[in-house]
Amino acid sequence: MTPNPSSRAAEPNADQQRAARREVFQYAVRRFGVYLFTLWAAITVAFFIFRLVPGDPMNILLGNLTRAEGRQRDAAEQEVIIARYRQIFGVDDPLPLQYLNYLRKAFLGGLDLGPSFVEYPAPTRDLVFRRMPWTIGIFTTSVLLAWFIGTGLGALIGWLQRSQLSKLAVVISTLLQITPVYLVALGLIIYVGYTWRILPAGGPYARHLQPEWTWEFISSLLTHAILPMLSNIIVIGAGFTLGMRALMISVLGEDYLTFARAKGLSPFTVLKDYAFRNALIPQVTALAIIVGATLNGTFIIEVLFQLPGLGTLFVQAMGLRDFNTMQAVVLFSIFAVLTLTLIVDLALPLLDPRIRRLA
Amino acid sequence: MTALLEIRGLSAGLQGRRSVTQVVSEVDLDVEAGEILGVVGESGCGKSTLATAIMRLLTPPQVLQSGSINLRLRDGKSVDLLALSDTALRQLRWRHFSYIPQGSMNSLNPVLRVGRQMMDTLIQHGLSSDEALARSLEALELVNLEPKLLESYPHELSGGMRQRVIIAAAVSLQPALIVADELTTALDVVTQRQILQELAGIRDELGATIILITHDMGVVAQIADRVAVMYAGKIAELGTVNDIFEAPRHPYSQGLIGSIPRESGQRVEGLPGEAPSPWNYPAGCRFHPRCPKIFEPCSEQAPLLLAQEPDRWTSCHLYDAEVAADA
Amino acid sequence: MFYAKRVLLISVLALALVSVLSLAVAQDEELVFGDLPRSETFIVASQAPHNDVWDSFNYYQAGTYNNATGYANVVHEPAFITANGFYPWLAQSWEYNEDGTEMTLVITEGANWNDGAPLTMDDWLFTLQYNKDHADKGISWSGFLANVEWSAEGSSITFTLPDTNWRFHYNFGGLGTFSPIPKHVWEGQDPTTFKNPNAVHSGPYRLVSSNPDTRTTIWERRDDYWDPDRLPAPKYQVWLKRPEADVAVFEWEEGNFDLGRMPFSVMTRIMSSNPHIKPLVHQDPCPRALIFNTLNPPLDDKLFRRALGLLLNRQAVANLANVPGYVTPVLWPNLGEPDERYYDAAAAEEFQVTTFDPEAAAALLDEAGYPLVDGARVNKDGEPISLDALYIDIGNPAWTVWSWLLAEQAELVGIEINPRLLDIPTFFTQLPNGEFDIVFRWFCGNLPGDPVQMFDGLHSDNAVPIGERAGGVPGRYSNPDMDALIEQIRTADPASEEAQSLFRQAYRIWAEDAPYVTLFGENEGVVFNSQYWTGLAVGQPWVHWTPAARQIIDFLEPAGDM
Repeated sequence: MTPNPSSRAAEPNADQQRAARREVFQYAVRRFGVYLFTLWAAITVAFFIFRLVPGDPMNILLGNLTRAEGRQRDAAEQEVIIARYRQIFGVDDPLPLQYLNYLRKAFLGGLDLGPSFVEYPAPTRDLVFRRMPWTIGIFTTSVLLAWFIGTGLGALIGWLQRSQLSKLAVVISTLLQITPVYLVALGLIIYVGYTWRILPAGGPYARHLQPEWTWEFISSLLTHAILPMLSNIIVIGAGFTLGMRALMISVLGEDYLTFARAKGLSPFTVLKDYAFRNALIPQVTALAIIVGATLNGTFIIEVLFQLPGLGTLFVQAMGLRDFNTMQAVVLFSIFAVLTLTLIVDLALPLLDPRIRRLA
Repeated sequence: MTALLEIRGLSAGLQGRRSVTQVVSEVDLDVEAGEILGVVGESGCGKSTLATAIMRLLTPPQVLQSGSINLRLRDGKSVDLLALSDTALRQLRWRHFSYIPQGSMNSLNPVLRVGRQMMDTLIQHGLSSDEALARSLEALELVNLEPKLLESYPHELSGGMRQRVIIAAAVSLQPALIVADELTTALDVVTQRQILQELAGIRDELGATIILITHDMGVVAQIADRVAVMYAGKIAELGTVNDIFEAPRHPYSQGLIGSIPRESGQRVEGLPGEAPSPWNYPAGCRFHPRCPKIFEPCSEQAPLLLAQEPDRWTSCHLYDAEVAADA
Repeated sequence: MFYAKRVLLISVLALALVSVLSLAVAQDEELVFGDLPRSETFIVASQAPHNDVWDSFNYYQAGTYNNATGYANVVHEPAFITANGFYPWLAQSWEYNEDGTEMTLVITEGANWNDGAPLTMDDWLFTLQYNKDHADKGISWSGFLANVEWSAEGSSITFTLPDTNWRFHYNFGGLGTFSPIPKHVWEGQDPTTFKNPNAVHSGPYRLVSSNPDTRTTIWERRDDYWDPDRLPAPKYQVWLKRPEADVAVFEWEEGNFDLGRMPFSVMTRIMSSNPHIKPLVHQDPCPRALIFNTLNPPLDDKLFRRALGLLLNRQAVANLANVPGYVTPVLWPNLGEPDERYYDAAAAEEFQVTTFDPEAAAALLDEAGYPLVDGARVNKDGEPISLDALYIDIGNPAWTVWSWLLAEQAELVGIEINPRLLDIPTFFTQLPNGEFDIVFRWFCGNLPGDPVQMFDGLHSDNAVPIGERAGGVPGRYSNPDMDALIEQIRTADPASEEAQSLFRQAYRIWAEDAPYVTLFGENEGVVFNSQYWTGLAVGQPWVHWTPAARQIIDFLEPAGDM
């Protein structure tokens, strides 16, 4: 009755497998097409929206300048300055031509996103590339950490849903989740940063340092990153915890969980292979959704903690109506969210065998 | 010969905010080795709760209130399943008693391959992975499934195949006792018949004892040796399949049997009224509001499950000589 | 064995003693920003605008020029410093020829740059030519050199002017000024992109480091400053971007900053928790005013405009803004007491400048032909009058309160005025384009800067159609008499009695026509930490965010008790 079982079991149908592989490939191609189209649409919408926002950057520039210098300029001098900047920014062309120029420069000109006012003459691309590491470093790391912590914690309190501690954890998480990230960050700054003086509460690193590969700089960078990341982790992590707990509880009610326990599997195996793995699938999707929704919270954190990230850049650019920079920041955010969603979508089949078929 | 499984005074209920609502009340039941015991009753009569309680798989708000369930092991020792520690119980599961749950269609983990789900249990119970594979293949053969199914994911299988995988998993360690809850409910008639035949074959081949929980009298008639009829959390009647089907004694059994269509096109009379829910079990005999043979003590005094003759138990005042005499 | 133990014990004790002592010595001097002694460091929490640039020290760059780094205050020096007059700095004096077609500037000998190189006539001449050559690049301090020729002799530069111009020297002093740049640094550089990375200029400090990530610039006093008598007290200055006010409060309470702006709302709190913190309220040099769009009827009627002026209760604004002395009424287009030489008191009396008198306003409206019909004033077409009043909110209550007070008073006389809050970018766009009825803004026309600015913005050159950007006062005001006076003022010597008479006549027209009405002068909330430094006081002639603030560091003295 058991003639060489392993060969019988492990012999997959070659045709079927090839077909399955083709299906996955087609799915990936289609998904990537949707990704490119969404990206293009986002670029287009961002381009026109920011140019339709009332407020002419050239005038704002002059207004700021007047305040900084404390004197009125004569009209001729103003005209020269304005004409100069209008030419540099190419805003005298008709809008469709500006749009085509923008696309051409952005895609064929080595990601040339145009000039910027924020730190003129530094071009927008340089600004975004210089600020990006901060946002990616603080935001991505903290969201991922929040996700891992929240998923683990949520799985645990979902699993132990009836213990008192677990109920307390739910109350605390709910409170934290509804707290505006601004308040959490401010609370951390006030108590941890100033009252107890445990950690530095502002700036990317100590003010007298310059970036270099020394222990002093790296340790300063790390200690300065703790509070801003913690602000994000607390609020986002609480959301992930609650989400994972809910997913866990609904999975715990599934028939296959009862069956797994009936089989005499150890609680750890049941938790790991049966409950957690199933709850994980929607939780991964939630990660991609959350990223977009929490980006603005990170912007607030950046401003509060004086981090030179994209959020701070956006606030500055908004104040100047520096449309190239605003657009670049928004594009980066959209790009990040879309790319993450793409990665998640392409990764989901690995987690969930059912999706491989649907594709 | 002592019974394989002795259930004594088993009560289980639902934990409410303040009190517990009893679903299964004081059930006494012996299951003999090698037999197929059918437990039948309408939906909500507590038969699934009974099955889960036997498996000690009650989850809140379900709670066990009292009772003992003694299982005789292979070495002849008897253990109370309800008194064992979780760890000790886990050792016994699958080796000594296994479970085919209600909703078998959804009892497979969608993200793990069938093989892994069968084998992880076996490995947990101390088999090497080669042994586990061999056992799994044997078990699949018992239910006429191809070995390559081990490589499949549950969603790639039909309902009948999934049901068979569950059965194969349940018998893979050749347990003495298998509790099967609504085994065939979601299946078409042909598949149903095949699976029942396979189950009977397993009993014959492995010598397993099977408790078959179902609402379908037809299934019981096909395969069971003895039948326990449950009504409102209690056993109304217990006897051999022939006795029960040929000459039911409890008015409820009579009603149930009477409602089986014997010939095609025959009109049957169902029982009047509805089965009570656990929140409003009637006092006295729980069947009395629907009973065509109601008499005086029925609404006040609960009848006991008494043996009128060997292997013939009825819980009805009509068959309780003392009460009938008083009346 | 026993002996060895004792030796060990003694050496451990000695070691402990030494480390405790050295720790005590180390703690004797508090260090900040790495190794700067706190008592020798002056820390400014500056409020950089949105375009804060920390790696460029280019004073030409219109888009990025700001003083967040302190560059304008501690390194960049003007030819003359202005504080109630002109004081020599990089230049000593100026002199005009008889008809005002030539001006001779005497430069200061012996100055040097903060990289050690001498500041010579070569640098002056290079800068003049450099500015003139790059006039088309939209850089500051170049327009005034058009058609001007110059020649140097000894330490004098003689400018040959195209027309009579008695005000040419104002380009070398006052708030926005010409000053020389080092030729050896700037030669061959593009004024719009060069970053002057070492911040070379003639001031008493040199750049230690500046970091756009932490937004911090550290300056160190130099030993070879060209005027040792005016060497400032702080050995180090640190200029940093102030955190959000909510966070900055704690820095102030801990005494981590020495000077900076803070909102009035939190100043009291800071001062009560740190007794060293003192308010250093000073008046913003630019009075606030309301501009009327004189193209929009009935604002084209000077009587109507004056009536609106009469409805403004400037004292009530001060009271409602809730900081006593926070705002002070302004009588003329400049702050403070009017300078009698340029001011016509009779005109101010006659046209009730800055008077609050709703009854007079009502009478004036009746007289001008805006009768009250069914409780509403109607215009010449018989339609009810409704006007928008635009303003921005930068956190100062006075900027908001005036509009509600005006609307309330106007309603009492039957005119509907709708206050509209704009965001700052929109405001800066609508204002020069003339897209408003009434708008709140500031005027910087103060003496002793070029007094021509007092009325120059009212020239009808600025009365361009709505939708085109206007310089000067954007209210589209035009009056041939005013134009004639302004043109005369432009060529007159402001110090002459003749020019002063012209100013008085212009003042009279301004008071009668009311193209804009002044509201109040406003105080800035600056706080000063006296724990490490003293010497700054209310009333000193400085504004910390303009180049003229070069002086503030001269007032500083060590607190001494450290």
